[in-house]
Amino acid sequence: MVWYEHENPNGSVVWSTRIRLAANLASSPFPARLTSSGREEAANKIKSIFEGNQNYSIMQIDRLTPLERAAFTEAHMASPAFMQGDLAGRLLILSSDGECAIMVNEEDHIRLQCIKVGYQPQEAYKKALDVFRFMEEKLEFSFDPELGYLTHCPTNLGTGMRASLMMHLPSLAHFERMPALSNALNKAGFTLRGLYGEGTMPGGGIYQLSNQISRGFSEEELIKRLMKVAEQVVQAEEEGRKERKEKEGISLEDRIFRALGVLRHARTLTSTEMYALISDVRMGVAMGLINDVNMSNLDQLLIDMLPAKLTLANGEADNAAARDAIRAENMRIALKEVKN
Amino acid sequence: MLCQHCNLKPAVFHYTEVVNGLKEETHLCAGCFEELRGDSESSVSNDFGGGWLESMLFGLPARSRTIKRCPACGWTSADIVKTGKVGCSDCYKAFEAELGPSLRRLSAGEPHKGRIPAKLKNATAPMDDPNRLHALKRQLKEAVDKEEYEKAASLRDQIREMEGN
Repeated sequence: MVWYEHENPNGSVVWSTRIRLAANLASSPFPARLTSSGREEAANKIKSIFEGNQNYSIMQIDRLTPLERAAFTEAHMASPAFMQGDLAGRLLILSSDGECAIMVNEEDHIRLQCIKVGYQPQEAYKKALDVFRFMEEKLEFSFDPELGYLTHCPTNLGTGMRASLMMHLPSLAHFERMPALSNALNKAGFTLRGLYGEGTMPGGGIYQLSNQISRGFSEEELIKRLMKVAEQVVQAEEEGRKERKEKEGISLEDRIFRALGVLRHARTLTSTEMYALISDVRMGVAMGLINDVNMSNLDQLLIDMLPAKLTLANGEADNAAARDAIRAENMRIALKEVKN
Repeated sequence: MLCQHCNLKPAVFHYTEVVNGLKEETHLCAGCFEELRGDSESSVSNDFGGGWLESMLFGLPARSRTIKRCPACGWTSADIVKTGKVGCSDCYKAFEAELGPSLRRLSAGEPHKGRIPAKLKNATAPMDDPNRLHALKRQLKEAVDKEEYEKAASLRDQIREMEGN
Protein backbone atom coordinates (compact mmCIF):
# COMPACT_ATOMS: atom_id res chain seq x y z
CA MET A 1 0.00 0.00 0.00
CA VAL A 2 1.21 3.50 -0.83
CA TRP A 3 -0.18 6.73 0.60
CA TYR A 4 -1.87 7.82 -2.62
CA GLU A 5 -3.81 4.57 -2.91
CA HIS A 6 -5.94 5.58 0.08
CA GLU A 7 -9.31 7.14 -0.74
CA ASN A 8 -9.29 10.95 -0.79
CA PRO A 9 -11.88 12.03 1.80
CA ASN A 10 -12.27 15.70 0.92
CA GLY A 11 -9.75 16.92 -1.58
CA SER A 12 -11.37 18.60 -4.54
CA VAL A 13 -8.70 21.30 -4.25
CA VAL A 14 -6.22 19.78 -1.79
CA TRP A 15 -4.69 16.68 -3.31
CA SER A 16 -2.54 15.67 -0.35
CA THR A 17 -1.15 16.79 2.99
CA ARG A 18 2.40 16.22 4.12
CA ILE A 19 4.02 16.82 7.49
CA ARG A 20 7.79 16.66 7.66
CA LEU A 21 9.79 16.61 10.89
CA ALA A 22 13.59 16.96 10.88
CA ALA A 23 15.92 15.86 13.66
CA ASN A 24 19.52 14.85 14.24
CA LEU A 25 21.28 12.40 16.51
CA ALA A 26 22.85 14.20 19.45
CA SER A 27 26.05 12.21 19.23
CA SER A 28 27.07 12.90 15.64
CA PRO A 29 27.85 15.78 13.25
CA PHE A 30 25.25 16.33 10.53
CA PRO A 31 25.44 14.05 7.45
CA ALA A 32 27.26 16.67 5.32
CA ARG A 33 30.17 16.52 7.80
CA LEU A 34 30.33 12.73 7.94
CA THR A 35 32.30 10.25 5.85
CA SER A 36 30.48 7.28 4.31
CA SER A 37 31.33 5.14 7.33
CA GLY A 38 30.19 7.87 9.71
CA ARG A 39 26.87 8.03 7.91
CA GLU A 40 26.58 4.25 8.01
CA GLU A 41 27.20 4.28 11.74
CA ALA A 42 24.45 6.86 12.25
CA ALA A 43 22.15 4.88 9.95
CA ASN A 44 22.73 1.68 11.91
CA LYS A 45 21.71 3.38 15.13
CA ILE A 46 18.46 4.53 13.57
CA LYS A 47 17.88 1.27 11.74
CA SER A 48 18.29 -0.80 14.90
CA ILE A 49 15.10 0.59 16.45
CA PHE A 50 13.00 -0.49 13.45
CA GLU A 51 14.54 -3.90 12.87
CA GLY A 52 12.14 -6.77 13.49
CA ASN A 53 9.21 -4.34 13.57
CA GLN A 54 6.62 -5.63 11.10
CA ASN A 55 5.07 -2.20 10.66
CA TYR A 56 8.16 -0.91 8.87
CA SER A 57 10.37 -1.92 6.00
CA ILE A 58 13.93 -0.68 5.59
CA MET A 59 15.39 0.16 2.20
CA GLN A 60 19.10 0.63 1.64
CA ILE A 61 19.30 3.29 -1.06
CA ASP A 62 22.61 2.17 -2.59
CA ARG A 63 21.07 -1.24 -3.26
CA LEU A 64 18.14 0.16 -5.25
CA THR A 65 18.25 0.44 -9.03
CA PRO A 66 18.12 3.96 -10.53
CA LEU A 67 14.53 3.22 -11.62
CA GLU A 68 13.44 2.20 -8.14
CA ARG A 69 15.04 5.31 -6.72
CA ALA A 70 13.30 7.53 -9.27
CA ALA A 71 9.96 5.87 -8.50
CA PHE A 72 10.23 6.83 -4.81
CA THR A 73 10.90 10.42 -5.82
CA GLU A 74 7.96 10.42 -8.22
CA ALA A 75 5.72 9.24 -5.38
CA HIS A 76 6.98 12.10 -3.16
CA MET A 77 8.36 9.63 -0.65
CA ALA A 78 11.93 10.89 -0.97
CA SER A 79 13.52 14.12 -2.18
CA PRO A 80 15.38 14.16 -5.51
CA ALA A 81 18.61 15.14 -3.70
CA PHE A 82 18.34 12.08 -1.44
CA MET A 83 18.57 9.79 -4.46
CA GLN A 84 21.66 11.48 -5.93
CA GLY A 85 25.33 11.76 -4.99
CA ASP A 86 27.05 9.51 -2.47
CA LEU A 87 24.30 7.10 -1.42
CA ALA A 88 26.30 5.26 1.25
CA GLY A 89 24.54 5.21 4.61
CA ARG A 90 21.23 6.43 3.23
CA LEU A 91 18.10 4.52 4.21
CA LEU A 92 14.43 4.90 3.48
CA ILE A 93 12.24 3.46 6.21
CA LEU A 94 8.62 2.99 5.17
CA SER A 95 5.54 2.30 7.25
CA SER A 96 3.37 -0.57 6.04
CA ASP A 97 0.39 1.70 5.29
CA GLY A 98 2.66 3.70 2.96
CA GLU A 99 1.86 6.96 4.74
CA CYS A 100 5.14 7.50 6.60
CA ALA A 101 8.62 7.56 5.13
CA ILE A 102 11.83 8.32 6.99
CA MET A 103 14.81 9.50 4.98
CA VAL A 104 17.93 8.65 6.95
CA ASN A 105 20.98 10.78 6.18
CA GLU A 106 19.36 13.27 3.86
CA GLU A 107 20.62 16.67 4.97
CA ASP A 108 19.56 15.78 8.51
CA HIS A 109 19.97 12.34 10.08
CA ILE A 110 16.22 12.05 10.20
CA ARG A 111 13.65 13.46 7.81
CA LEU A 112 10.34 11.91 8.77
CA GLN A 113 7.37 12.61 6.58
CA CYS A 114 3.77 11.53 6.81
CA ILE A 115 1.58 12.00 3.77
CA LYS A 116 -2.18 11.69 3.67
CA VAL A 117 -4.47 12.07 0.69
CA GLY A 118 -6.77 15.07 0.77
CA TYR A 119 -6.86 17.84 3.32
CA GLN A 120 -5.82 16.26 6.64
CA PRO A 121 -3.13 18.41 8.32
CA GLN A 122 -4.02 17.55 11.90
CA GLU A 123 -4.33 13.84 11.20
CA ALA A 124 -1.01 13.82 9.34
CA TYR A 125 0.70 15.67 12.19
CA LYS A 126 -0.68 13.27 14.79
CA LYS A 127 0.68 10.37 12.79
CA ALA A 128 4.08 12.01 12.33
CA LEU A 129 4.25 12.82 16.03
CA ASP A 130 3.54 9.20 16.99
CA VAL A 131 6.41 7.95 14.83
CA PHE A 132 8.67 10.74 16.07
CA ARG A 133 7.95 9.93 19.71
CA PHE A 134 8.59 6.25 19.01
CA MET A 135 12.05 7.14 17.68
CA GLU A 136 12.71 9.56 20.49
CA GLU A 137 12.12 6.89 23.13
CA LYS A 138 15.18 5.08 21.86
CA LEU A 139 17.33 7.78 20.29
CA GLU A 140 18.64 11.03 21.65
CA PHE A 141 18.13 14.00 19.34
CA SER A 142 20.02 17.32 19.31
CA PHE A 143 17.87 19.85 21.09
CA ASP A 144 18.34 23.31 22.56
CA PRO A 145 15.62 24.87 24.71
CA GLU A 146 15.83 28.17 22.87
CA LEU A 147 16.57 26.98 19.34
CA GLY A 148 14.51 23.79 19.48
CA TYR A 149 15.50 20.75 17.42
CA LEU A 150 18.88 21.46 15.84
CA THR A 151 19.11 21.03 12.08
CA HIS A 152 21.69 21.34 9.30
CA CYS A 153 19.85 24.32 7.81
CA PRO A 154 18.95 27.10 10.27
CA THR A 155 15.61 27.62 8.50
CA ASN A 156 14.42 24.31 9.92
CA LEU A 157 15.29 25.01 13.56
CA GLY A 158 12.66 24.88 16.25
CA THR A 159 9.95 22.38 15.46
CA GLY A 160 11.86 21.09 12.41
CA MET A 161 8.43 20.95 10.86
CA ARG A 162 7.36 21.72 7.35
CA ALA A 163 3.63 21.26 6.78
CA SER A 164 2.71 21.16 3.10
CA LEU A 165 -0.45 20.91 1.10
CA MET A 166 -0.44 19.85 -2.53
CA MET A 167 -3.14 21.99 -4.05
CA HIS A 168 -4.81 21.81 -7.44
CA LEU A 169 -5.19 25.44 -8.48
CA PRO A 170 -5.93 25.45 -12.21
CA SER A 171 -8.22 28.49 -12.10
CA LEU A 172 -5.80 30.67 -10.14
CA ALA A 173 -3.13 29.66 -12.65
CA HIS A 174 -5.51 30.34 -15.56
CA PHE A 175 -6.20 33.90 -14.36
CA GLU A 176 -2.46 34.37 -13.77
CA ARG A 177 -3.08 35.07 -10.11
CA MET A 178 -0.21 32.93 -8.86
CA PRO A 179 2.53 35.63 -8.67
CA ALA A 180 0.33 37.97 -6.60
CA LEU A 181 -0.88 35.10 -4.43
CA SER A 182 2.63 33.82 -3.95
CA ASN A 183 3.77 37.29 -2.85
CA ALA A 184 0.94 37.68 -0.38
CA LEU A 185 1.62 34.21 1.03
CA ASN A 186 5.31 35.00 1.41
CA LYS A 187 4.45 37.99 3.53
CA ALA A 188 2.29 35.80 5.73
CA GLY A 189 5.18 33.34 6.21
CA PHE A 190 4.15 30.72 3.66
CA THR A 191 5.54 29.63 0.35
CA LEU A 192 3.94 28.32 -2.81
CA ARG A 193 6.04 26.32 -5.23
CA GLY A 194 6.05 23.69 -7.96
CA LEU A 195 5.04 20.09 -7.52
CA TYR A 196 8.43 18.48 -6.93
CA GLY A 197 9.83 21.10 -4.60
CA GLU A 198 11.94 24.15 -4.90
CA GLY A 199 12.54 25.52 -8.35
CA THR A 200 10.45 22.93 -10.18
CA MET A 201 7.77 23.98 -12.62
CA PRO A 202 4.22 23.50 -11.47
CA GLY A 203 2.69 20.60 -13.35
CA GLY A 204 -1.01 20.49 -14.21
CA GLY A 205 -1.86 23.37 -11.90
CA ILE A 206 -0.60 21.52 -8.83
CA TYR A 207 1.24 23.63 -6.29
CA GLN A 208 2.75 23.03 -2.87
CA LEU A 209 1.81 25.39 -0.05
CA SER A 210 3.99 25.20 3.08
CA ASN A 211 5.11 27.13 6.14
CA GLN A 212 8.42 29.01 5.92
CA ILE A 213 8.82 29.55 9.61
CA SER A 214 9.43 26.56 11.81
CA ARG A 215 10.45 28.24 15.07
CA GLY A 216 8.74 30.59 17.50
CA PHE A 217 5.37 28.84 17.13
CA SER A 218 4.20 25.46 18.34
CA GLU A 219 3.39 22.76 15.79
CA GLU A 220 -0.32 23.18 16.49
CA GLU A 221 -0.10 26.94 15.92
CA LEU A 222 1.84 26.47 12.69
CA ILE A 223 -0.74 23.99 11.43
CA LYS A 224 -3.64 26.24 12.40
CA ARG A 225 -2.01 29.12 10.54
CA LEU A 226 -1.46 26.91 7.50
CA MET A 227 -5.09 25.81 7.59
CA LYS A 228 -6.32 29.36 7.83
CA VAL A 229 -4.27 30.38 4.80
CA ALA A 230 -5.16 27.20 2.89
CA GLU A 231 -8.85 27.78 3.38
CA GLN A 232 -8.49 31.21 1.81
CA VAL A 233 -6.59 29.74 -1.14
CA VAL A 234 -9.24 27.04 -1.59
CA GLN A 235 -11.95 29.68 -1.53
CA ALA A 236 -10.10 31.79 -4.11
CA GLU A 237 -9.71 28.75 -6.37
CA GLU A 238 -13.37 27.83 -6.03
CA GLU A 239 -14.42 31.38 -6.83
CA GLY A 240 -12.07 31.28 -9.81
CA ARG A 241 -13.81 28.12 -11.05
CA LYS A 242 -17.22 29.77 -10.71
CA GLU A 243 -15.93 32.81 -12.54
CA ARG A 244 -14.67 30.63 -15.38
CA LYS A 245 -17.97 28.78 -15.56
CA GLU A 246 -19.86 32.06 -15.87
CA LYS A 247 -17.47 33.68 -18.31
CA GLU A 248 -16.60 30.72 -20.52
CA GLY A 249 -19.84 28.74 -20.33
CA ILE A 250 -19.96 25.96 -22.88
CA SER A 251 -16.38 26.51 -24.03
CA LEU A 252 -15.12 25.53 -20.56
CA GLU A 253 -17.29 22.40 -20.62
CA ASP A 254 -16.03 21.67 -24.11
CA ARG A 255 -12.41 21.96 -22.96
CA ILE A 256 -13.02 19.65 -20.01
CA PHE A 257 -14.83 16.98 -22.03
CA ARG A 258 -12.29 17.18 -24.84
CA ALA A 259 -9.58 16.49 -22.25
CA LEU A 260 -11.56 13.48 -21.05
CA GLY A 261 -12.02 12.36 -24.64
CA VAL A 262 -8.30 12.49 -25.34
CA LEU A 263 -7.49 10.58 -22.12
CA ARG A 264 -10.07 7.94 -23.07
CA HIS A 265 -9.02 7.50 -26.66
CA ALA A 266 -5.44 8.67 -27.24
CA ARG A 267 -2.89 6.15 -28.52
CA THR A 268 0.14 7.96 -27.13
CA LEU A 269 0.45 10.34 -24.17
CA THR A 270 3.51 12.08 -22.74
CA SER A 271 3.52 12.68 -18.99
CA THR A 272 3.36 16.46 -19.51
CA GLU A 273 0.28 16.13 -21.71
CA MET A 274 -1.26 13.68 -19.25
CA TYR A 275 -0.77 16.17 -16.40
CA ALA A 276 -2.45 18.97 -18.34
CA LEU A 277 -5.40 16.77 -19.37
CA ILE A 278 -5.90 15.24 -15.93
CA SER A 279 -5.86 18.75 -14.51
CA ASP A 280 -8.84 19.72 -16.71
CA VAL A 281 -10.71 16.49 -16.03
CA ARG A 282 -10.05 16.73 -12.29
CA MET A 283 -11.55 20.23 -12.31
CA GLY A 284 -14.53 18.88 -14.27
CA VAL A 285 -15.10 16.18 -11.64
CA ALA A 286 -14.79 18.72 -8.81
CA MET A 287 -17.26 21.06 -10.53
CA GLY A 288 -19.77 18.26 -10.93
CA LEU A 289 -19.60 18.30 -14.73
CA ILE A 290 -18.12 14.81 -14.98
CA ASN A 291 -19.70 12.17 -12.81
CA ASP A 292 -18.40 8.88 -14.11
CA VAL A 293 -14.77 9.43 -13.09
CA ASN A 294 -13.48 8.93 -9.56
CA MET A 295 -11.15 11.69 -8.37
CA SER A 296 -9.01 9.35 -6.27
CA ASN A 297 -8.40 7.24 -9.38
CA LEU A 298 -7.25 10.32 -11.29
CA ASP A 299 -4.88 11.28 -8.48
CA GLN A 300 -3.40 7.79 -8.44
CA LEU A 301 -2.84 7.91 -12.19
CA LEU A 302 -0.91 11.16 -11.78
CA ILE A 303 1.79 9.15 -10.00
CA ASP A 304 1.38 5.65 -11.42
CA MET A 305 1.75 6.89 -14.99
CA LEU A 306 5.03 8.74 -14.38
CA PRO A 307 8.04 7.34 -16.28
CA ALA A 308 9.85 5.39 -13.56
CA LYS A 309 6.70 3.89 -12.02
CA LEU A 310 5.42 2.93 -15.46
CA THR A 311 8.68 1.29 -16.49
CA LEU A 312 8.86 -0.66 -13.22
CA ALA A 313 5.32 -1.92 -13.74
CA ASN A 314 5.84 -2.79 -17.39
CA GLY A 315 9.25 -3.93 -18.62
CA GLU A 316 8.43 -3.02 -22.21
CA ALA A 317 8.19 0.67 -21.32
CA ASP A 318 11.94 1.06 -21.52
CA ASN A 319 11.96 3.98 -23.94
CA ALA A 320 9.94 7.17 -24.15
CA ALA A 321 7.90 6.20 -27.23
CA ALA A 322 6.94 2.81 -25.79
CA ARG A 323 6.09 4.44 -22.46
CA ASP A 324 3.83 7.01 -24.12
CA ALA A 325 1.92 4.22 -25.85
CA ILE A 326 1.63 2.12 -22.68
CA ARG A 327 0.59 5.20 -20.70
CA ALA A 328 -2.21 5.90 -23.20
CA GLU A 329 -3.32 2.26 -23.10
CA ASN A 330 -3.42 2.24 -19.28
CA MET A 331 -5.33 5.48 -19.31
CA ARG A 332 -7.94 4.07 -21.69
CA ILE A 333 -8.43 1.09 -19.40
CA ALA A 334 -8.51 3.17 -16.20
CA LEU A 335 -10.98 5.74 -17.53
CA LYS A 336 -13.19 3.39 -19.50
CA GLU A 337 -16.51 5.09 -20.11
CA VAL A 338 -19.33 3.89 -17.89
CA LYS A 339 -22.52 3.47 -19.89
CA ASN A 340 -25.55 4.82 -18.03
CA MET B 1 23.85 43.33 -13.25
CA LEU B 2 23.98 39.87 -14.80
CA CYS B 3 24.87 36.68 -12.96
CA GLN B 4 28.61 35.99 -13.16
CA HIS B 5 28.02 32.28 -13.59
CA CYS B 6 25.41 31.99 -16.34
CA ASN B 7 25.54 35.55 -17.73
CA LEU B 8 21.85 35.19 -18.53
CA LYS B 9 19.76 36.16 -15.55
CA PRO B 10 19.95 39.18 -13.26
CA ALA B 11 22.12 38.66 -10.19
CA VAL B 12 20.16 38.69 -6.94
CA PHE B 13 22.79 37.39 -4.53
CA HIS B 14 25.73 39.68 -3.98
CA TYR B 15 28.48 39.06 -1.49
CA THR B 16 31.96 40.20 -0.73
CA GLU B 17 34.62 38.02 0.79
CA VAL B 18 38.10 38.96 1.92
CA VAL B 19 40.53 36.15 1.25
CA ASN B 20 44.14 36.75 2.28
CA GLY B 21 43.55 40.48 2.23
CA LEU B 22 42.07 40.44 -1.29
CA LYS B 23 38.49 41.50 -1.77
CA GLU B 24 36.39 39.18 -3.93
CA GLU B 25 32.94 40.13 -5.11
CA THR B 26 30.42 37.54 -6.22
CA HIS B 27 27.13 38.22 -8.01
CA LEU B 28 24.82 35.32 -8.78
CA CYS B 29 21.26 34.69 -9.92
CA ALA B 30 19.04 32.58 -7.68
CA GLY B 31 19.40 29.47 -9.87
CA CYS B 32 23.20 29.52 -10.01
CA PHE B 33 23.40 30.37 -6.34
CA GLU B 34 21.38 27.24 -5.52
CA GLU B 35 23.41 25.14 -7.93
CA LEU B 36 26.80 26.33 -6.70
CA ARG B 37 26.04 25.70 -3.10
CA GLY B 38 24.97 22.12 -3.87
CA ASP B 39 21.40 22.39 -2.79
CA SER B 40 18.87 19.77 -1.81
CA GLU B 41 15.09 19.75 -1.96
CA SER B 42 14.77 20.45 1.69
CA SER B 43 16.63 23.71 1.86
CA VAL B 44 14.29 26.63 1.85
CA SER B 45 16.48 29.66 1.32
CA ASN B 46 14.18 30.83 -1.45
CA ASP B 47 11.23 30.61 0.84
CA PHE B 48 12.64 33.69 2.48
CA GLY B 49 13.34 35.34 -0.83
CA GLY B 50 16.94 34.74 0.17
CA GLY B 51 16.25 37.19 2.98
CA TRP B 52 17.77 35.43 5.93
CA LEU B 53 20.71 34.19 3.94
CA GLU B 54 21.36 37.55 2.39
CA SER B 55 21.32 39.11 5.81
CA MET B 56 23.80 36.49 6.89
CA LEU B 57 26.03 37.15 3.91
CA PHE B 58 25.89 40.88 4.45
CA GLY B 59 25.72 40.69 8.18
CA LEU B 60 28.97 38.82 8.73
CA PRO B 61 31.97 41.13 8.91
CA ALA B 62 34.55 39.91 6.40
CA ARG B 63 37.28 39.38 8.96
CA SER B 64 35.16 37.19 11.21
CA ARG B 65 34.21 35.02 8.25
CA THR B 66 37.69 33.97 7.32
CA ILE B 67 39.03 32.67 10.62
CA LYS B 68 36.45 31.11 12.88
CA ARG B 69 36.11 27.33 13.10
CA CYS B 70 33.73 25.09 15.06
CA PRO B 71 35.84 23.22 17.64
CA ALA B 72 33.63 20.13 17.37
CA CYS B 73 33.33 19.54 13.61
CA GLY B 74 35.76 21.97 11.96
CA TRP B 75 33.05 23.79 9.96
CA THR B 76 34.10 27.41 9.33
CA SER B 77 32.17 30.65 9.14
CA ALA B 78 33.11 30.71 5.45
CA ASP B 79 31.42 27.32 5.07
CA ILE B 80 28.27 28.76 6.61
CA VAL B 81 28.32 31.71 4.23
CA LYS B 82 28.89 29.38 1.28
CA THR B 83 26.24 26.78 2.13
CA GLY B 84 23.85 28.64 4.41
CA LYS B 85 24.07 25.64 6.72
CA VAL B 86 25.95 24.50 9.80
CA GLY B 87 28.07 21.38 10.29
CA CYS B 88 26.90 20.06 13.64
CA SER B 89 24.82 20.93 16.69
CA ASP B 90 27.82 22.59 18.36
CA CYS B 91 28.15 25.05 15.45
CA TYR B 92 25.13 26.89 16.83
CA LYS B 93 27.12 27.66 19.99
CA ALA B 94 30.43 28.24 18.21
CA PHE B 95 28.89 30.74 15.78
CA GLU B 96 26.34 32.18 18.16
CA ALA B 97 27.52 35.76 17.61
CA GLU B 98 27.52 35.47 13.81
CA LEU B 99 24.27 33.54 13.45
CA GLY B 100 22.36 35.22 16.27
CA PRO B 101 20.77 38.13 14.37
CA SER B 102 19.69 35.91 11.45
CA LEU B 103 18.32 33.23 13.75
CA ARG B 104 16.32 35.79 15.69
CA ARG B 105 14.90 37.14 12.46
CA LEU B 106 13.92 33.66 11.35
CA SER B 107 11.62 33.31 14.35
CA ALA B 108 10.72 36.99 14.79
CA GLY B 109 12.75 37.05 17.98
CA GLU B 110 10.75 34.27 19.59
CA PRO B 111 12.36 31.25 21.23
CA HIS B 112 11.31 27.70 20.38
CA LYS B 113 7.75 27.03 21.48
CA GLY B 114 7.00 23.62 20.04
CA ARG B 115 7.38 20.11 21.34
CA ILE B 116 10.39 19.21 23.46
CA PRO B 117 11.97 15.77 23.87
CA ALA B 118 9.79 13.64 26.13
CA LYS B 119 12.85 12.68 28.17
CA LEU B 120 13.63 16.32 28.89
CA LYS B 121 10.05 16.98 29.83
CA ASN B 122 10.06 14.14 32.33
CA ALA B 123 13.53 14.69 33.76
CA THR B 124 13.26 18.33 34.71
CA ALA B 125 10.33 20.56 35.27
CA PRO B 126 10.72 23.33 32.69
CA MET B 127 10.85 25.92 35.45
CA ASP B 128 14.06 24.43 36.88
CA ASP B 129 15.83 24.07 33.57
CA PRO B 130 19.09 26.09 33.64
CA ASN B 131 18.99 26.41 29.83
CA ARG B 132 15.56 27.94 30.05
CA LEU B 133 16.81 30.48 32.58
CA HIS B 134 19.73 31.31 30.33
CA ALA B 135 17.37 31.77 27.38
CA LEU B 136 15.06 34.02 29.36
CA LYS B 137 17.96 36.21 30.47
CA ARG B 138 19.10 36.60 26.91
CA GLN B 139 15.61 37.53 25.78
CA LEU B 140 15.38 40.05 28.62
CA LYS B 141 18.56 41.72 27.46
CA GLU B 142 17.24 41.86 23.92
CA ALA B 143 13.90 43.27 25.02
CA VAL B 144 15.65 46.01 27.01
CA ASP B 145 17.93 46.77 24.05
CA LYS B 146 14.90 47.09 21.79
CA GLU B 147 13.10 49.16 24.44
CA GLU B 148 10.26 46.63 24.59
CA TYR B 149 9.62 47.30 28.23
CA GLU B 150 6.34 45.47 28.58
CA LYS B 151 7.91 42.28 27.29
CA ALA B 152 10.99 42.91 29.47
CA ALA B 153 8.87 43.23 32.60
CA SER B 154 7.14 39.93 31.93
CA LEU B 155 10.49 38.23 31.29
CA ARG B 156 11.95 39.74 34.47
CA ASP B 157 9.04 38.31 36.47
CA GLN B 158 9.56 34.86 34.96
CA ILE B 159 13.28 35.00 35.80
CA ARG B 160 12.58 36.07 39.37
CA GLU B 161 10.15 33.24 39.78
CA MET B 162 12.70 30.73 38.49
CA GLU B 163 15.42 32.07 40.71
CA GLY B 164 13.07 31.91 43.66
CA ASN B 165 13.26 35.62 44.52
